[in-house]
Amino acid sequence: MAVIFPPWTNRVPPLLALFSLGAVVSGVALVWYYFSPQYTDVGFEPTQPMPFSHKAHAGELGMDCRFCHNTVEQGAHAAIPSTETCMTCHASLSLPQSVPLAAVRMSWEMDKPITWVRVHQLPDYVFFDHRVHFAAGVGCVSCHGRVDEMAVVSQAEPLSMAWCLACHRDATPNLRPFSKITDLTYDPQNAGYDPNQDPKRKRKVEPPLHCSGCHR
Amino acid sequence: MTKLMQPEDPKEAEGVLDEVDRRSFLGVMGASMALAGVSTSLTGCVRKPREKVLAYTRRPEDLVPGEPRYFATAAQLTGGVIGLLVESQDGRPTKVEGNPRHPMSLGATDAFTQASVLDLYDPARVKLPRVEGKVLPFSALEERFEHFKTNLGDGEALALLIDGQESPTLFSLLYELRRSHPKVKIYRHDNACPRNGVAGAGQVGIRGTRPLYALERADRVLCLDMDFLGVEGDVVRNARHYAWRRRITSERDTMNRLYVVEPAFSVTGTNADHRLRLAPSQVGEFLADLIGHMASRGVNAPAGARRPLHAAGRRLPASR
Repeated sequence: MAVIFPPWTNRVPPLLALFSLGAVVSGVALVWYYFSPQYTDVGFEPTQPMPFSHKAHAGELGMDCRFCHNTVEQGAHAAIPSTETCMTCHASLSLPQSVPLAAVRMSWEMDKPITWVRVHQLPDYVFFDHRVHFAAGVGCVSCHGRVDEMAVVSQAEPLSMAWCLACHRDATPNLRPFSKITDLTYDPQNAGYDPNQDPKRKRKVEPPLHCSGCHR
Repeated sequence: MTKLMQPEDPKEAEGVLDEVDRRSFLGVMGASMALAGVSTSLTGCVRKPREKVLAYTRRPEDLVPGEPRYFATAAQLTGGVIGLLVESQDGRPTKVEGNPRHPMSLGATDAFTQASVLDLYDPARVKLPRVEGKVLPFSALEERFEHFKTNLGDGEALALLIDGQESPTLFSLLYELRRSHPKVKIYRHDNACPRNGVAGAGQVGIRGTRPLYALERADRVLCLDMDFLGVEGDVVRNARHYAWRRRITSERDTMNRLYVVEPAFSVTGTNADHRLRLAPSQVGEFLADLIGHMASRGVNAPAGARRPLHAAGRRLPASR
């Protein structure tokens, strides 16, 4: 009688079990890493319709973030500035044939908006309000990174739920004096800032941790 | 419809516009799923779709994108004017509510006004003037008017048809028109306009006025075939005032009492403390009898009317 299963087949079940365990573990690990916003979103740097440089404006010229994103204190959105805001300076500052500025001039003359590509994009099921974060004294740099060093804006932080919650659980390291909110170079740790000792803070920052705080 | 919808809501119109048959739909589905699989497995790229941000070229003053703005306005409905607050989201009106500081609204609206926000998105809404069946821009209309004005003469050939407007500005303009062109004919047509109310007020008071009910001060209300809580003008204000007088907050507060005589069911009738069903032809008689009764204390109404009439007649003279 022929042997149907030679002796080596005895090792198949444990090997199979080991292999499938390895497959599951590596699958989970792959999804864990490669599907996370840390991998998919950080560093997202879309090509914009015109070469606007935050490095030149916020960094070298030292303009305050709110000169252009002026609704950050009043609204949920820190609105993209209108073409009029650009033209406030550039109507007299730039040469009429300046190529990088062509899109702005075109928008101004034809009354057509510039089509920017959104960099920091939260899911639609998340409610985010710039106003309250500003009022709590969270700096721009905490979420947007060193925009003053970016010639082309890219996403610096994952903007994932775990990342949001990390700060909502303990916001203290990200709090800064109200006068330094738009100061991208200020570091509250190096400066030894303690929000509990700040006389200008009228109430304690208590970020919501319940679901409907953000998923309304 | 789809053509009309497109400029208003291109996202919605897309789905309606695309005429995709089942076969090509499944083909596209299969292909896109395969592509998604490939791109996911190869690059691990599952980033959200790219979104465009279109900023204003000139942002209106005080506008914060994403924040609602409220505009105070007024709308005319069934002969009455109601003050409104309209919520506007990024330039699009989304909600109509009553203006709490307007005496005809007191912060509330009725169903018609609530629904009126949809009028603003009505594809059939008139956007440009129409002259002899042709849609023309406003500039062309002005030219026409100039031309018209020079050839108007005494206004013999002109007839105006207007709805039940209450606007004093319009009235003064019409007055001016009639003074300069005495033969102009002006017709008013509006089924919802309280014409009889205006005529009645003209008989007892000043011409051109219309009655305004002080329900917040009335202890006894007799209503003869009129739906003042339902559809017949100033409804919001009437309902508010009527309800105020039925709210007891202290021991001294009293409630009003509502007597309704009407031929058909109405909102007012369902709210009545005493409701009498009576043919329209008999309502006048009822009133005449009531007046006689109040004068003499004798009851002279149709048989079924005795009980509520009695109740009303006993209490009405005692109150204003």
